[in-house]
Amino acid sequence: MAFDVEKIREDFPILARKVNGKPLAYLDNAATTQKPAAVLDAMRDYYENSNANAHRGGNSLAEEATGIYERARERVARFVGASPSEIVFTRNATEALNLSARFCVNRMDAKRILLTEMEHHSNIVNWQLAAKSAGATIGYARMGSGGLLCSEDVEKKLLKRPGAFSFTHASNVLGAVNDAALLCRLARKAGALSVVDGAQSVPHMKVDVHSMGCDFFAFSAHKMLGPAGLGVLYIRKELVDSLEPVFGGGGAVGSVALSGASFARAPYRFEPGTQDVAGAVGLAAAIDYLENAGMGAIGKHVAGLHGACIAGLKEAGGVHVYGDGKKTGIVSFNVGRLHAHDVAQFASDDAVMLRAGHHCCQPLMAALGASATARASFYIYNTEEEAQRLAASVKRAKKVLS
Amino acid sequence: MNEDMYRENILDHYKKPHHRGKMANASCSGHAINPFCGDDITFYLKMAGKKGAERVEGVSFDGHACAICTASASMLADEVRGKMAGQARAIGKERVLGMLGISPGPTRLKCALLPLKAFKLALYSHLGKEIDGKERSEMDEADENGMENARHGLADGEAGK
Repeated sequence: MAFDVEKIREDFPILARKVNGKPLAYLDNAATTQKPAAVLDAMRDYYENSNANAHRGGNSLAEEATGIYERARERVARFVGASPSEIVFTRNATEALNLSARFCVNRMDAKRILLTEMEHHSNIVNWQLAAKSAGATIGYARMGSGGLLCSEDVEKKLLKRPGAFSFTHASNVLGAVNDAALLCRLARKAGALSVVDGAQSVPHMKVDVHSMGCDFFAFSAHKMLGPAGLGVLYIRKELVDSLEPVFGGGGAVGSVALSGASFARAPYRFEPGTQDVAGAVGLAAAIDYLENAGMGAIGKHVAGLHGACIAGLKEAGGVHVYGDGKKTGIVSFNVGRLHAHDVAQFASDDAVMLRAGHHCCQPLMAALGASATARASFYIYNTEEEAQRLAASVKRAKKVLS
Repeated sequence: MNEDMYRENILDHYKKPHHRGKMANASCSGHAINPFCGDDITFYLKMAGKKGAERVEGVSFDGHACAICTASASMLADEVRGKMAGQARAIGKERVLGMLGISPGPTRLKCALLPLKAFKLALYSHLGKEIDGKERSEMDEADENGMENARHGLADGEAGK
């Protein structure tokens, strides 16, 4: 099936609206994506026809809800090359990364953790909290040119034998994609558990967690056309049954006595409390939508938009672009001496939605020597015309503010 | 909207800010950041006069900021220069927005009010006074995370989303 962006746009109700009297150009997809009608319909259908408490009660409706929830888990597992029992549903990628940090410090003997200076705050602060409670120290691997991790520096820092090494698969600021398989191999060789933040990579490329060889892999439904409020944590099967749960509650246990509890098998032991079945249904529908369009075709479309955006900004002149986000559709930039906030304001008034600021990556921004950047991020429903509108907004900002 | 926000007076102050630069012999200084967008402003004051009758003799500001924030700092510096400390203290949100001549939305409001926060932190450090409840709520509007940092004793910019 040929990739037809105009047809795809018709599936996203929000794209028909106007902002400030002009058609919406939504270029903030690295923050969150819009939802196709198929996702919204699937969630509504679940609530209208099948809603019950999954894994609770012997009634027929609860059994139906359980089946729907578990089919969604199977769909997610198949999408990233995992087994269903390795897939834990969380609230978001941030919670998945917080859980990973706790699992690691509870398990590892070494009192040392290796992170990178490219991480989102979600993959720094979680480790800082876990390290504090475990009395562990944190080291940081450096970023090389082009916004990729410097693997020599990673190797060097792994010589200190950390118990865990966590890194971002793709930076939300720079967009470049790290060689996760290589980095996981290096971690394994050094005896460290590997934790990969896949929030920015999974929406854009085929990921296979088994061939990557990671121990933990986190991503988020809302960045890949699914609903907000649902994240995914993959845990490698050799680990998943032996990890002590971090949160406890109903549905995650075998038996409970006043003196203690035994835990259910994985992944249920990590999902206490009533689960977001509609969210899982929404994510499964989003995956259907993405695979129907074709992950390869989406990647090609996004790379084309990335090229058009860079060309437009180059033509506007005086624009500095950070990193290489061709594979994830990210263009982080500054315009001369203008503040990113002003650039984003001009674009916003032209109904072009950007993000401006430090993108929850203050250590990375410090490494770049910038206090803020403007960021355009493209996805399945964006067009070259929208990239050109961004360039026109940049030109206008330059004219008024210089 | 945009055309309203980037009015001529704002653009004039942004392109040629008044009293910009560090002050070598300042009596006090105040630093405020907006962790969301990276605006970063420091106010320097040269105070004169006896205790209880202090006057803002000299003022300057420095930092990196967007057009709205830079213009607000420049206008505020003009406004407070030569004022008695009591008069300068009385300047609030309404006065700053009046000088700018805009009514920004919640995001840009933080930009507009950040210089006022830096200025008051400088002034109060000199007077040895605490920020009262009403002012605190105004400043919180300017930078709720910055205030949170201050309460937890963290350095500016340590936390924030």
